[in-house]
Amino acid sequence: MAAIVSAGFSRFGKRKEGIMDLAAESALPVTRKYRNGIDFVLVSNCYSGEFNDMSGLNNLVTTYLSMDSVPSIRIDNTSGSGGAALFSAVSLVESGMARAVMLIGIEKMSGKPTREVTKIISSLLGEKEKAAGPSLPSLAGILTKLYMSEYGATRESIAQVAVKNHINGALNPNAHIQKVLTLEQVMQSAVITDPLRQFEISPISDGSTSLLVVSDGDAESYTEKPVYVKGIGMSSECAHLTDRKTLTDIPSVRRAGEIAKRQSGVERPDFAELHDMATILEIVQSESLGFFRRGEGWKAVLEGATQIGGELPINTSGGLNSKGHPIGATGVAQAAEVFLQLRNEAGQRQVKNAVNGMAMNMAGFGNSATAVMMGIGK
Amino acid sequence: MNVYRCETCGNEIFERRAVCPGCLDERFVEVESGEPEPFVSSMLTVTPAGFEDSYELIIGTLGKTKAIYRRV
Repeated sequence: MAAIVSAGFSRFGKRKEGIMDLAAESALPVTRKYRNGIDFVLVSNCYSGEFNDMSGLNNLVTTYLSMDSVPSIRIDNTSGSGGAALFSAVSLVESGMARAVMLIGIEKMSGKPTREVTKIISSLLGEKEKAAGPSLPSLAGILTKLYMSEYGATRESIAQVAVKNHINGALNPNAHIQKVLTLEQVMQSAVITDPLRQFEISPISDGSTSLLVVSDGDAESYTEKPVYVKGIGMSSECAHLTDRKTLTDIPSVRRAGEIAKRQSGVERPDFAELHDMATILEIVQSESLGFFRRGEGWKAVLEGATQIGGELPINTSGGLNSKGHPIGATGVAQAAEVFLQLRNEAGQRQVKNAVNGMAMNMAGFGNSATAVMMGIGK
Repeated sequence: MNVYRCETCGNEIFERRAVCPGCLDERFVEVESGEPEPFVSSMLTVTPAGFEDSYELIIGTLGKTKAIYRRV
């Protein structure tokens, strides 16, 4: 078993700093304390070439941190990079190939215009599908229509996810958007891809988050409050949407969650961070992970079950929707929110008496997914 | 609109692959499959660079598979 023993954060948002300084902002609070023990660095980043004209980012980052001789790898799995990097860090530690793995998630995206960013992110699609001109949010728009039609979900129930997540984001000092929104404000914001509106889609963000992953045997020598990785599962799905049997289920999420739950022996976490690139995705994922019955996730939102203080709080950080979505940093930040919550360090957004929490990080439109169940106590 | 048809099992796919997901054969033929039958769409007002400013993105059935296309 592996454990997470330290986390560092940059604020997410449109930041004037460059990618190296953003990486340092989250990494330094960790390396100042634990530099000597770190024997591997994983840099979760997707688009340093496209956004920043840089390659070999992992080595540039370790050098910037003057960890010149520490081996490092950059991990790119689109929006799922952070989850894939955590999966790799846990694998390195559990296999004995490394003792203390520093995980740095980083993306600097705001230097390009929105439509250019949209094009870059759409590059994960197949050649013919990409030629049709979809954006990732447009696929969520299509999913929203199919979901509402199949399950009778109301338009307001989908938008309510954004209301909840902006309430949570306003309580997170590192969130990109720290502003409470009413349902009317969400429903009156600009249509991006019908029926989804601006405040239902994650913003274009810069940011970085770091974690330190060690073996469970070493964990208590780092901190009195380690958070254990009790289960971690990764699964993939066909990259081509036109080959998928259904568009209203995300099988990679379901399978990754089943692995994490089976390994951990925890069927239902006390809270979860899900990959809400668009509001509908939070609802569909909450069903794929078995938190709510298929077709009933939207009712759970309306009933308040997913808000802080509810039956199963989701996206206490504000989620991608409000906290922001600097792509390579996202999956690391999701796990970091679970880490904070389980250590009772989440401030005003703290979930009471939480023992187990899940983070689910998704690549593309469910092209792959990593689910991690974390908990306090071995 | 064209699809790729597996020469062994007749499975059809919209996006090219090296191996048939149905039977794992490697021989395909590209065939004309008519016009897709739309079943869901979304109107985009923020589009990827290099495309029109606004259009309808459509998913439809095409032969034994699905197709994605746009209508300006």
